[in-house]
Amino acid sequence: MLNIQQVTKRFGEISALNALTLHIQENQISAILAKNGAGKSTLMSLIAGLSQPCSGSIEINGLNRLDKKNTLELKKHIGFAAQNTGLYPMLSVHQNVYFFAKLHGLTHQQAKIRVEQLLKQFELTELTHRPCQTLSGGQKRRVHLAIAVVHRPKLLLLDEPTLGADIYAREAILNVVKDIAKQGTAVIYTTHYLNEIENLNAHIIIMDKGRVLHQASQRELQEKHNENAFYVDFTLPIAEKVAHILAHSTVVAAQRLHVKNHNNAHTIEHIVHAMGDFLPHIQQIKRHESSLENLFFTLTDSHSTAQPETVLVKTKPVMHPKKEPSLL
Amino acid sequence: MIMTALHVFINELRIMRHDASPFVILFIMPSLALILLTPALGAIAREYGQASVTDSALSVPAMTVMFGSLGAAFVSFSIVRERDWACWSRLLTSAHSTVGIIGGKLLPPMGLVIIQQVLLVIIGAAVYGGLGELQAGAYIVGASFFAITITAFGLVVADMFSSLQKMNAVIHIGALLFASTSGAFIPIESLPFYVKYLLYISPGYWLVVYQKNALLGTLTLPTASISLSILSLQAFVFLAYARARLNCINT
Repeated sequence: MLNIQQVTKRFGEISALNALTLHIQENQISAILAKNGAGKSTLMSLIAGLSQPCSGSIEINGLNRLDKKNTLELKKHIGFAAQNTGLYPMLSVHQNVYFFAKLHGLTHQQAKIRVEQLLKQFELTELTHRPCQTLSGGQKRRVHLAIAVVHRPKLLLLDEPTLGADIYAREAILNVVKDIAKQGTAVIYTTHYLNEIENLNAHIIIMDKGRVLHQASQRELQEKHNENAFYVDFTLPIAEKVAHILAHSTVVAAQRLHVKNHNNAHTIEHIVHAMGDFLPHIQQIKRHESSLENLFFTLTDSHSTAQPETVLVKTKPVMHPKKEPSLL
Repeated sequence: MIMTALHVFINELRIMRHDASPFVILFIMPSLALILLTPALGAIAREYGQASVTDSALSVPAMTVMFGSLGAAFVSFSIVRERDWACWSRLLTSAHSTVGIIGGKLLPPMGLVIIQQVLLVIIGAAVYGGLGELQAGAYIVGASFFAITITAFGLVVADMFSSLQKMNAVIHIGALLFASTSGAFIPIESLPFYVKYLLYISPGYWLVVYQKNALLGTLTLPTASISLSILSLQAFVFLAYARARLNCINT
């Protein structure tokens, strides 16, 4: 559906996109995950045709985006909802959606039917005659999105579509995006809310400094980058003494052991059993997790302050004897 | 292109229904100014030996050039406002023709400027008379050419200034310059010598030359041709600039 090859975009000395290459398939929701200023909106703008790249090629549905003679045809294929809600504030919801339907070339009858359909789909029917300036942020977002799909585009570009929406509006928008994708539309979705990407089960594109770092499904990314491991915390500084008991274990602190779980060789039961006499000195066992957030931080070389761990076993505090046990 | 222009035009009219300022600025203000200032303008003209020109034939072009120039503000405003509402990129990605968008944006202010000029001539004739020889058809043609030129100028201003404040300041200074260098408010003889050279690049001057003659029934084909050619040339330059600059998308 979309094939971007070696696209570069500069604004003076600033390089927004650096030889970016990207492929998007039909019927797929692709979520672009990036820090602010990584080039997401510039990329959206290039795909939408609002600006031109300095070099490289963009092909949409087999048509060259940069060839002027394809522009009209491409406008029929692309729906774009920019970051800011683009609505005429004093006009009603119906007038806004209807106007853009007409601009896309729908006849009066087609536009009338399509507008009614969309207002129903986006739960806006009761607001049909309300001026957009009186709507809430979430309602405006829904109208904004309805306009982007009024001409049934094959490629839908959504730049932070849930920005400012409350959780109900967000849920409604995500459901509609899923419905649209089911109908065969390729969706490119940018957001800073990682739970939305998980909810959409989107194909993930991680961008940084104007490049695509990784492009894969959530499962593929997590399988590739998930570090399957445990942390064993002790109540005493005995990590070094215990390390030899468990294969692939490393001392990370006097009271902490890192156990790599190669080929799922370890289970909690296995670790507990292997500890033997050291068992009373275990404070807790945690599983190291690669959440999407941690994965993003890792891949973009940033540091997460969040601890990517889940506590699996937590023992009661033990009163430590002054002397270490004799068997140690 | 025509259909795009039509849809944008209809949308502009819908928006205008919620905003009375064009009607106040383009119709009420010049009408009041015309009624109040006509005797004074006539007196100044007679002072400079223009006894043969009626008061209305002086004041009507003066008001049309001054307040008609504000038509440019409505074009610029309609585009800057689109950007403020974040609708401009949506328009560019939706409409089948960028030229159509520009055309649709120009039509309402253009229409208002033409209506304004007709309204002023009616008020001038009704209140002060002296327009018995009026070449009505020619007058409307002149008004139309000026409306095209001045609204095209509004597009240039919209490209050059991104904020409403800057745009308003430039348009108002521009309107004042167009009016003061037109020879309608102040006789050309009384202007500093260097201003006389600027007259020839001012759309206001060519409008006043044309309309004054049309109002007095003395418009000849050569005079009309020169004025309209110059106004057309200026409109062409402004539109070409706007087409190149506002066309951010391949169309």
